[in-house]
Amino acid sequence: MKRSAWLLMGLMIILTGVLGCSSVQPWEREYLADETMQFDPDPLMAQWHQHVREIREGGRGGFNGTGGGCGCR
Amino acid sequence: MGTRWVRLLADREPWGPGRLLKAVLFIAWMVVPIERSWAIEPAQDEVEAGYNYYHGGGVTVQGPAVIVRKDILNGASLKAGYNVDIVSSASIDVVTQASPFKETRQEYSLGTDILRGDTLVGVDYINSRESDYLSDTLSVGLAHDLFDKNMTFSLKVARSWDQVGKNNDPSFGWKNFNRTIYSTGVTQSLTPRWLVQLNYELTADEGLINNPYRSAITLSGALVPENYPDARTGQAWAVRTSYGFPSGVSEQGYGGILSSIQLDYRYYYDTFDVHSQTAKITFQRYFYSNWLGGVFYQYYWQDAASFYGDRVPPDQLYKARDKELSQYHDQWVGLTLKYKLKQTQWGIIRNPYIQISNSWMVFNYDNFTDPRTGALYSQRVYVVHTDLGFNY
Repeated sequence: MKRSAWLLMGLMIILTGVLGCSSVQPWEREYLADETMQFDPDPLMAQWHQHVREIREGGRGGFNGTGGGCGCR
Repeated sequence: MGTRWVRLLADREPWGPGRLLKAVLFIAWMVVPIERSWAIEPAQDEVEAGYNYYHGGGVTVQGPAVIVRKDILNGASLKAGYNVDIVSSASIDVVTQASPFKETRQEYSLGTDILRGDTLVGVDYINSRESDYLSDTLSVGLAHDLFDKNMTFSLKVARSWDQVGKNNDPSFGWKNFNRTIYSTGVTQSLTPRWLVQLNYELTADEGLINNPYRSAITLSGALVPENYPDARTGQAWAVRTSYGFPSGVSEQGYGGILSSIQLDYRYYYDTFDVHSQTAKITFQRYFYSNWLGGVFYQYYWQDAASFYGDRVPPDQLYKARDKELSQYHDQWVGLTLKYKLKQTQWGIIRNPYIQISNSWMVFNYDNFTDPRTGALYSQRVYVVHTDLGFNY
């Protein structure tokens, strides 16, 4: 596995551990619920852009995560 | 439990509907808290209908798309989708090796999401049909909120069973191409206006991976059929983050988001020795109360597969002349505009919206030439998506 991949994996593990300690209270989630804060809030547009990427680019995957951290998706 | 999961993944039994069903049931048994009551917030009923358009490099693809979601029980919803790609192709591969063609691809999808407590389980099926390609995909995914909903953990497994044919060549028959995808990710709210997401995805392909119509070109200029390894495994690591800027504090203490900025980065590599990096920045801003505008820019770079060649020695075992396996970079810039009537109801229609996205891509290939001129190839592409939708 390439060194950059190991670095990214290590970064993910460290961030997961560190970030798990942060806490946004339920009454502070109105900003996070806004659609501009979401990753790919429009399913049809996201599906079409992903389709274009898959056809024209050799790299695949990685942008299909779930969750906005706001408890609404 | 961990041993069972590893054994399931390492099982030498070939993937089929039975094994995938076992995986679905196992994941559901492992993570769904059956004893919990239904979630308070059911999925929203919504309809989205749109039209897609792609034009560039001699290829035009266009067609409608629609998604309908309906809450059937408190916390369980059904979704169905349909889209069509009407393809007219005179791409560089086609005009230099074959004849321009037209065809239509139809895709149907059906899925369900079940929300129990802090866990969302989704099962989806997709069927795609065109004259020389048949595909069935089944996927199961789950997302689970942790730490007072500050973190969302997601896991997804998908498997597709594809059949590849060749028009006007009955002797070719139908070849198998199968794909399995494992993906996992974590989304974390860092502050009330800052999200970060980390994803990993493994894609395993097996079967006929190359395009049966495309040929490689030997050093002497002769056309020979492409020949790829019959397996390809790719891994992608991605980081995404979204940061919001408030519009100010109202008397109620919340002024809402005025604008946001999103950064995405992905590193990908696979057993064909393709390495790629993707970086994207998106900025969105509200105008007045109902308008949302956005702009995005993406840069993509990749190097070539180990057996790719613009010209290949005739005795080379694996041969590819797919420009998507060459070394190249592309840039993608786009504008989006959305008009949404919030807190509006017309009969059964609530919160209607309409939006359009126009974007432009430029591809510059470093070792893929136009056989007609011998010059390095490049192409410009125009991509449009427009849709309207509403809750009901």
